[in-house]
Amino acid sequence: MFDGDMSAYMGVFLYEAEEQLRILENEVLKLEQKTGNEEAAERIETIFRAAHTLKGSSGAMGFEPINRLTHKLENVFDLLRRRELRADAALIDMILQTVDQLKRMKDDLASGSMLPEPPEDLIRTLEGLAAGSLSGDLPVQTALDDPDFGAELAAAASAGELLQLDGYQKDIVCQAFAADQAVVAVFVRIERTAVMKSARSLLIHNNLKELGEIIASAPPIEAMEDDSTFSGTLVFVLVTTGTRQQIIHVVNQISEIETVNLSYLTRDNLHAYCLPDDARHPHDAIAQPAQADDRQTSSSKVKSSQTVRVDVGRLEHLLNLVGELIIDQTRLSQFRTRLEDNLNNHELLEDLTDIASRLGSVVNELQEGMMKTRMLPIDQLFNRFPRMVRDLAQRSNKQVELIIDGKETELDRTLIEEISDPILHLLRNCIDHGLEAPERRKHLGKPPAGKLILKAEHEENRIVITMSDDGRGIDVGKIKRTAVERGMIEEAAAARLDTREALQLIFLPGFSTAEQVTDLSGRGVGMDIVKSHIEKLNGMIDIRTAVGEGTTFTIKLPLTLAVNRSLLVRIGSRSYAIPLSNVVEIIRQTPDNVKIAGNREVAVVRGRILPLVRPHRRLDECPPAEEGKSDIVVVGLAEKRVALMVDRTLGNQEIVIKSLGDYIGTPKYIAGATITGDGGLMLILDLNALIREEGTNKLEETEKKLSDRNAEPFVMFKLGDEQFAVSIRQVQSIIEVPAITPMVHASPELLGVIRLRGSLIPIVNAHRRLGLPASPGSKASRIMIMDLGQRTIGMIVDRVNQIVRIPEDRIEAARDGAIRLRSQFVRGIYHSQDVLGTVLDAVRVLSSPELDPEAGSLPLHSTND
Amino acid sequence: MAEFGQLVVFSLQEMKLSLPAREVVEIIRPRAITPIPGTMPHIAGIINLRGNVIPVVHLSLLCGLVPGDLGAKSRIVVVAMKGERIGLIVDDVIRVATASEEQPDDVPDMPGFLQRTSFRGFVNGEGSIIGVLHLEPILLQTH
Repeated sequence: MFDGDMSAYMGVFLYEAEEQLRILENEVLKLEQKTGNEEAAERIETIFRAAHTLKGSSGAMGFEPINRLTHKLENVFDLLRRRELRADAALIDMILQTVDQLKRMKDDLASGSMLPEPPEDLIRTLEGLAAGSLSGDLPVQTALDDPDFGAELAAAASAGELLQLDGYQKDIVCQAFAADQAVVAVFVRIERTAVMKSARSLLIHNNLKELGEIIASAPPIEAMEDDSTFSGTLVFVLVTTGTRQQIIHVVNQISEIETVNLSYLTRDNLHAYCLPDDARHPHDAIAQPAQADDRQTSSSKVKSSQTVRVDVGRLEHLLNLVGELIIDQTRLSQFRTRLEDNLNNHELLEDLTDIASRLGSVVNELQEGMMKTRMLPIDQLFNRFPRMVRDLAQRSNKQVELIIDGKETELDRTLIEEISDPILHLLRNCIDHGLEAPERRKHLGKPPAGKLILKAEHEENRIVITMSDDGRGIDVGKIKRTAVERGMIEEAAAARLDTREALQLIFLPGFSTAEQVTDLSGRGVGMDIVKSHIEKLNGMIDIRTAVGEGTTFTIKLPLTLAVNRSLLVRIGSRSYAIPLSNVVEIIRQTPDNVKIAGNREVAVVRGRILPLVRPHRRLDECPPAEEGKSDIVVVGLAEKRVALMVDRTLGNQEIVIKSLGDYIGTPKYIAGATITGDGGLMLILDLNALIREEGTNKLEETEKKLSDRNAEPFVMFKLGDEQFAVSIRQVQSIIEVPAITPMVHASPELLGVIRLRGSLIPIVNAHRRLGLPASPGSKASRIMIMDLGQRTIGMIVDRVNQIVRIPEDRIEAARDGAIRLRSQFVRGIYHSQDVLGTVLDAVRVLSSPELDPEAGSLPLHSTND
Repeated sequence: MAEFGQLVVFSLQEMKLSLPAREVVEIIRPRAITPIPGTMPHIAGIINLRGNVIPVVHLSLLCGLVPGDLGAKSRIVVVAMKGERIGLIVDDVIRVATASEEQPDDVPDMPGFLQRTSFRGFVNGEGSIIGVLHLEPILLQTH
């Protein structure tokens, strides 16, 4: 019976179902371990209650197949708790299989598919287990087991658990039938976290009375009135002429109702609601289920903490707002400082300082609080593992002791999903390849069960997850050999690798040293996926191993995604941000720690040799003025480590990462931008590309470096509003404009001559020559004295900007018609930093018979052909 | 020819161009542009617009003209494309006008990269013929 109104409760049901299944699985697994009788008994009680709750709620929702399967399971648990069945391995396997099936059915529901019937053989096995119990008794309520009853009965079953009408009440019901009135069992569950459940039940009672007559209730009214024991679950049997909608409507007028379900009593199903004929005392019958329910709900109350469910989108929105707050608060702070510089001890300033600092601390707390709303304990992830490890160990015939430490360590919820695959793979690897078989271990003097320790802890702004085993360790020599065999690396190169670099080989795609491919791993597609997952999360991974002793994997992940602690660095003309979670360490450059090895630059950091990266050229920045005084930041991404050379480090700062948007997309070295305190924008480095280039294309890098050295310096200058450049090789000097002596009878393109160090130098009107509008000249105007081989000529420009290195490949040929200048003057167009300009061929611009004041003929060929 | 409604008329060097006003989100004075290395030349960089990061492009480059420096009259015309705001650097915003109904007799020369398809149409105004830009293909030509 699927009520249209039920869709609102679907979310609640699924959430609960997941809870109960999780409890079921975990407790059943623990049952396998040998514990004291009392502990085992308690466990079985918990298991029974979990199944019971699931049965009840699935019944209330009308999910008959789930209800039916859970019912069978509950029967088995009932026998367990009555000691009529023993929990051996076979039984536990069976139970776990059923739990798997239930999980699948829940997932089907969640995805909106139809619920299939549970597999018949599973049902029969469960029934068989129950039937094979010692006493041979079948549990009470057999009538309800009969699958001939329709789905209506399933819902009725849950109501019927609570409610059992005695003879007198049954008569009233029959009278109602005769009078053509409807008899409805209104099953209501009040939110577990609601207060004053008793008051609510009274309200429900009163509301329902408006529609008819209440002839029975469970638990009895007195029980409902006791707020300390009332569980919030109740059933009223209502005789009414009202409609379904009306009934649901009046109940929903009360707040904090979790579920409402209606079960119409009919002549056919009436007996399900009544006491069996060989019944106990009516009061017992009603009290007992109520009690069971109470016990179950009160204990599960103890288990689950107070929670509210909030849509994740809303949290994200709030988080963004907090980010904005931080930016503005930083700006306020900076503003206050500037004001202080201007106002000096003004009394109002004190107030402002007070307010600003108070605001700052509140915003900080708010940010921390918001961060925590997104955090969940890693137990969410870890609790799946005992089951998986058990299955994996069984399949590979090994014994594994799994120890989990730090499961309450919290991390961002999106991270939990992302990290589960990599960890799972590492687990598989460890059990498959890392740990030896029990006999072998005994032979080696190790305990037969391999130890697998999974640990999580916080470290500054990161979460550190370690997985260690006491197995056979990784043979570095074998790794090298395999890599060479597969053509991944040259033998000579392999010999040069140190342990750390050799271990990194296992992250290459296609790498696997397993002789046979098992269906779990060893297919050689594993470790590189692990690496790319971790890379995606901007994390790092490390391996430590000793042959015969074991292996430890350490994964470090940044804790927060949107707000980030970053290291600010100066590179060239600007500051950039590097996520702190990727920073390993910072050192100053000394003559000893930067060297050339092979044909590339390396940094020596604590005895380790790392590739050195100078990011300046890639970021369109100029190299630092002074060589040898830089800072070196060792950064890491996944398994790679690289030494980044920056002009200097500027300290740490919390930044809010802003995306560059879809139009710009993802440029190679930039991951995003952040708004600085003064309202400007700072770019955030994307270490991915920087690091990756170091690993693979060493040759290309060298070539780039060579072309870098060949990048000519150009002088950038302006004529009017337009930007130009000439090769500095042609520029002899740049001087302020002295007095120019005009020449009579000379071409208008010639302004005159000047005297410079004893020589006369003609000055060309470059504007005129290039067809640009005349410029009035200003204090910024300069004369560039050009050395054209055999002649020296000067030209006036409006402003000289700077000198920039432009590599040959950055000068693009000018498109026809794109530039208004005559093409013979133009070498091309360059794009560098924020400037686009025209590269002039100085010789051509300044050579022409008309320009020679001595009226001789001049060689017209350019020295730059 | 479609009714353009109000038009924002601006200039790129000597060319007068326009955009339908409904495509224009706002017009702002130029401010510090942070360039992004490794992007195409027409992407001037990003700016901070009330806490949002907005890309800014040299519209002149996209039309095939060499861009000049930002002058006193330069403006950034912020448009919305596919839900994202993008700033276009123009040399001058002349006015917002209603296009006259009559069509111009002939179509002017196409400077730079511009072609017939770059325009939604042409209107008479300011004593000359003004092209109404079809923005999307121009902005996306390099994608």
